[in-house]
Amino acid sequence: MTRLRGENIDLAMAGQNQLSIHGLAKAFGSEHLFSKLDLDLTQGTTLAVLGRSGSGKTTFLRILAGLESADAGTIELRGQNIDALPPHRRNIVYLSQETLLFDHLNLFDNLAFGLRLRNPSQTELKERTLAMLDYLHLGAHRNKPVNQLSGGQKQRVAFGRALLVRPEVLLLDEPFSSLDADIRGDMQNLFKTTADKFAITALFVTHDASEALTLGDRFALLADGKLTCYSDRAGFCRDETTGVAKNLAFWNAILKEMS
Amino acid sequence: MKCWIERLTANAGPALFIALTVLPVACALGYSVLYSIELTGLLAKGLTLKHWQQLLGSSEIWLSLGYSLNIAVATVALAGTFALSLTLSGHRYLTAGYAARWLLLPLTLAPTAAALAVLELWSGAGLISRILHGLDLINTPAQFPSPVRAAPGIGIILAELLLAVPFLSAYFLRVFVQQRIGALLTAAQSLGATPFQALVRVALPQLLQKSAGMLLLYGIFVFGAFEIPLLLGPRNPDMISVLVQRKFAGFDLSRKPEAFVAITLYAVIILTLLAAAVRRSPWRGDAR
Repeated sequence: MTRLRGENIDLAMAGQNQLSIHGLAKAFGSEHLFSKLDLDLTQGTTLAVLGRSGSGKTTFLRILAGLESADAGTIELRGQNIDALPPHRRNIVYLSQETLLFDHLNLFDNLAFGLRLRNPSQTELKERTLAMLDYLHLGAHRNKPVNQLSGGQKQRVAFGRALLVRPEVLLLDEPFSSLDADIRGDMQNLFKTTADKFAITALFVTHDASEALTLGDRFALLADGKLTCYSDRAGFCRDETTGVAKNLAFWNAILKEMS
Repeated sequence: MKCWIERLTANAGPALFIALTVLPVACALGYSVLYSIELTGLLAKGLTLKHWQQLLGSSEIWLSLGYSLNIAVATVALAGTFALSLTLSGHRYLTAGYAARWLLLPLTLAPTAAALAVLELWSGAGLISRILHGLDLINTPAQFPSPVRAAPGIGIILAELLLAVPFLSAYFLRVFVQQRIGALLTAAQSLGATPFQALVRVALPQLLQKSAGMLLLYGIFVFGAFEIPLLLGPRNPDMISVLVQRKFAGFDLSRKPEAFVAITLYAVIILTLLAAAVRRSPWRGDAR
C-alpha cells in the first residue's frame, strides 16, 4: 500500500476498482444531451474527457456522482449497480470548477470534513488530516479561515478534502480552469503526481486539449451526444474531431515561422 | 478653486455621514441626558439625579427592559426557526419563478395592521373565540384564554411573527442564493454527508453566520417596538417604548424626566449591543 509521508495516510484503494457505464442517456425536454454512452474505466486510470461547452460534460459527471439522474442506462462500480444509491453512499467525489469550501470552517476542518463523517478516531482524524496538510504544503495555514487563502490554495484544499475520503472514483469538472496559468500548471502537476502515486481512478473533463493530454492516461471525446474513447494518445491526437491535430499544426506553423 | 472643490468632494461623504447619523443621535442623547437631570425642560429646576435614582431604584424599568428583551429574543428565535425551516425545506420552489416575490407580500402589512389582525383573531371577542363558542367548545367567549394583553406577551409575539417570518425568510433565501449554499450542499453530499448532515453541518451554520448581523438588528427593532406592544401588550410590565410613552405623556409632568432616563438607558443598551456585534462582524470592513 502506498502511504503519504509519516505513514499516516493510506490513499491506495484496495481491490479492483472499475467504473462501468452502459447506455447512459440524458435529455432536457426534447433536447437530447447524450445517449447510449458506454465506458469502462479500470482502477488507477485517469480518463480525460474532452468536450466543448454545452456538450454535457458536467451533467455526465453529476449523473455519475448521483447528483442528477439519468434517463436511461446503468452505472456499475466494481461490478455493483449504483444507480439507486444516493450521492453520499457512492463514494464517488465530484470536484467542480468552484472550490466550494465551507467558509464557516477553518482550513483544517474543511480538509477533514468528509473524513470526519466516516467517524474515525480523533487520533486517526488528526494524523491523516495533518499528513494531508503537509502533503499539500498548507501546514502553515491550518487554522486560517479559508476565505483568506489564494485561489490555488483553495483548489489544493478542495483536492485534498476529496482525497482524504479515499474515493472509489474522483470526478473532476474542469477544476483548474479558473486559475492563473502558473498556478494551473502547479495544480495539474500535483494532480498528475498524486494520481500516479496513489493509483487514483479519475475522470477528468475539460475543454482544453492540452490539459487533457497532460493529465489523461486514456482519452475520450464527448461531442454531439456521443462519447468516443481512444485506445491511445496517438489515436486521440490524430482524430480531427478532437481538434488536437489542428492545434498542433497551428503551433508547428508558428515554430517553423520563428525558426 | 479646483483644490477647494476636490477637498469638499472628498469630505462630503464623511460630513454627510456625521450630519445624518452621528449628529442627530448625539443631539438626541445629549438632550435626553440633560432633560433627565433637569438641566433642560419645562419644569427644570437645576441639576438633580433624583429621576435617575427614582427610576433605577424601582422595579418598573428593569421589568420593562427584561420583558422587552424576552419578547425580542422569543420573536427572533421563533421567526428565525420558522424562516430557516421554510428556506431549507422550500428553497428549490422559493428560488424559482415568482414564489420568492409572493413571499414579500406579507411585508405590505403595517405593524398596526398586524396588531389589529391579531386582535380581531385572538382577542376575547375575536373570531377564534367566537368560532370555539359556536362549536360549543367553550360556554362563553370570556372563557377563551386570549393571548392578547396577557402577561407572557404571546399576542405581541404573534403579531411580530406575522412581520418577521416573511422578512427573515426573504433574507435567508437571498443569503442561500448569494452564498451558493445549494452547491455547497451537493459538495457536502458528494463527500459523504447525508442530506440531514449536509443541512446541519453546512447550510445551517452558513446561513446563521451570514445572517447573524441581521438577526441582531431585527432583535433590536423588536426590542424597541411600539405600536404592536401598545395594542396587544399587558399593562404591566410594559415594553420599553410603551413605558417611555406612558411616562412622557402622563398627567404627572414631574415624572416626565423619567421618560428621558429610560430613553438614555435604552440607547446605552443598544449602543453596547451594536458595539459588541460590530467587533465581530464584517461591517468593520476587513477582507472577509
